[in-house]
Amino acid sequence: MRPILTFLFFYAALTFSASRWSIRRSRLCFIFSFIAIWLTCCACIFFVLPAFFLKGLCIITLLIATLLLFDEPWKEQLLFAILWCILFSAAEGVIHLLLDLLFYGSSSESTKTGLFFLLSLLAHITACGYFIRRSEICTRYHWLTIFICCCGIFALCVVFTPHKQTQLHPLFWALGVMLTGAIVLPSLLLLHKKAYSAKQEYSTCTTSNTTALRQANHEFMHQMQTIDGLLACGSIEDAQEYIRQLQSSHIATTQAINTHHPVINTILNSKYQAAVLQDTDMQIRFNDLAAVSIDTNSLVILLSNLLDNSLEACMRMDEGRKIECIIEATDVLFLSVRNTSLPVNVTNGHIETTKDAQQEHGFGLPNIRNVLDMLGGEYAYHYQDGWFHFVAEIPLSSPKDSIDK
Amino acid sequence: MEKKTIRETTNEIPKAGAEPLCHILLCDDDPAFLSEVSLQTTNTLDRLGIPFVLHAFTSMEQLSAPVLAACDIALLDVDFEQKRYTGIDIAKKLRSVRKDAVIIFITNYIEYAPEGYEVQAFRYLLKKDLYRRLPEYLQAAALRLKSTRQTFKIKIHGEVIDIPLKQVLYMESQGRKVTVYIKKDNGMKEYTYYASITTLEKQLADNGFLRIHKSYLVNMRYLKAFRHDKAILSTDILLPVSQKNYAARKQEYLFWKGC
Repeated sequence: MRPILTFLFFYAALTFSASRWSIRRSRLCFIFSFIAIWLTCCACIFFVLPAFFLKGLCIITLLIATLLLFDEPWKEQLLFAILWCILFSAAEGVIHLLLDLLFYGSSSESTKTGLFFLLSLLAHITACGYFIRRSEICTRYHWLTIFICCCGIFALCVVFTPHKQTQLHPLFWALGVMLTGAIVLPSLLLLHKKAYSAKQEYSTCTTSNTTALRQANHEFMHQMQTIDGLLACGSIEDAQEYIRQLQSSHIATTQAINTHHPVINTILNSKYQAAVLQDTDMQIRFNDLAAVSIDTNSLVILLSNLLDNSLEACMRMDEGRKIECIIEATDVLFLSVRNTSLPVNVTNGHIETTKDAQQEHGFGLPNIRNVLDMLGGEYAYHYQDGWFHFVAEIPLSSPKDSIDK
Repeated sequence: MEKKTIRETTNEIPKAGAEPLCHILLCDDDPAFLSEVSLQTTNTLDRLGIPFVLHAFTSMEQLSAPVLAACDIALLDVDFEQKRYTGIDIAKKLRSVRKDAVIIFITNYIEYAPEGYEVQAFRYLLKKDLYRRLPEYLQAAALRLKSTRQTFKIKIHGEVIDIPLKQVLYMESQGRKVTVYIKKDNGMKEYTYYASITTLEKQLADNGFLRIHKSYLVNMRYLKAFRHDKAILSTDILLPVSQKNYAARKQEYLFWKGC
């Protein structure tokens, strides 16, 4: 019964945290929690086991956790796991050493065990707190992260407490704390990394939009000065002609596109304006997007990056600059950006970039992929017949299929 | 007194078996600009070798039901001065009788809105870009029109039937026979004949047909949702989806939808 309860605890906690990233990872976390609990149950059954076995168990758990939670290459994952394992083992050793020094021969084993538990928990909460403060994504759920941490410790303690034994072996506590740390801290690191990346990207996109608006304002002031100069010289006809020219050319106003969604409007209008300024034929097709409930950060990262990429690609063309953008919201959000481009090599889903300085273009495609993974979206891109095409489908709600064939 | 212009221009009478006549509808309240558009359209279609009939009007009131019903490509002004209607209203009227007509809006100021999506606007053209962009837009519209006019032949009891591809919902393989489900205004019609669905898949690969299952070939224009467990058609028909190659098929569908 107790192993089952423990399993449920872990599963609920991990699934909740994992579901904030993607369905795929949620499933992986399910497998991970199952393996972790299975191993701990085995350890419980074969109670008298050498210490190195339990350490080995911790390392394996840690490896699996980092493997599943991080998108890094396996070498980095391995290094990361080993580093964390060393760190935890060191922390555990230091706490034990301090306790032995402080209470040498003057205190019972149970006091030392209790203090060890408290200090370990404190260390974990402090570490969690550090990442929570640094992470914007999980700010709203910080209480839950602490809850997950405590649940983990409690659950493991339940598993490791033998029947009719009131005194807990310190090893159980140590293992509990280490396993919890192995689960919680990499998760927090991942969240922290994602939050930092998202913040950087959002900042880049906002700066790009602000620059476009500043350029437009600058141009407007320049035009006003020209009209003022012509009128001052008494060249009314020239001024009228100039105004007519401006009227016909200044079509990309901030109100040109109205999707009924303020964020999408802002992005599309600024990009449309940029397209007109660089003589790119941009065609947009969309329906009523008022119901799109994707968070602002994700939308900005997705749309700004996709359209910036297409604008940049068109800029490199001498002629035939075209962008076709489709945004349709039904049960899913369908997104398609298609643009003429110089040849692009897409190999194994990766683009061999021709950009000289990656920093100039923000985080680009990898961040688009991250956001789409986070939203549970499906996407694809290819280069064909002179056109680069990116398509994505993001679920918005569960469609009701009431009518069967 | 309002000045009205109604013109009808044609370049040639098509011969039997030749490309069918393309009916072009132009509507703009500015007669001078209407003349420019007419001239530009005539030149472009002549150059492309497309036989056409051109109908030019300055107001919605002049549009008759037969003209709307015959229209293949419409070039519509968006803003009509001192009128209660816009080009979008004309497009809605046209759409009610011709669902497959290709609509291009011509305007002084671009105003993208969901209404344009509702009438399935093909392109928006700025008046100042008329000379530069109209030829390529007309060429693209002609290609779109051509794709909607494609047919395929089936032979049932020695009789050859020509079926417009745009009406085919999906095809189902049953042993050595294939059933073709056709969308009609009042429901669905089916034809069963001897054929291989794999051959049909290859034959119709460039016409927007997708093999979602070993027994089903679907016209993507009617595909409302394509998920790993099922496909839902716009007529609310559910079809099974093969897990094998699902990812590749889904990509194919998404790319098609984005074109």
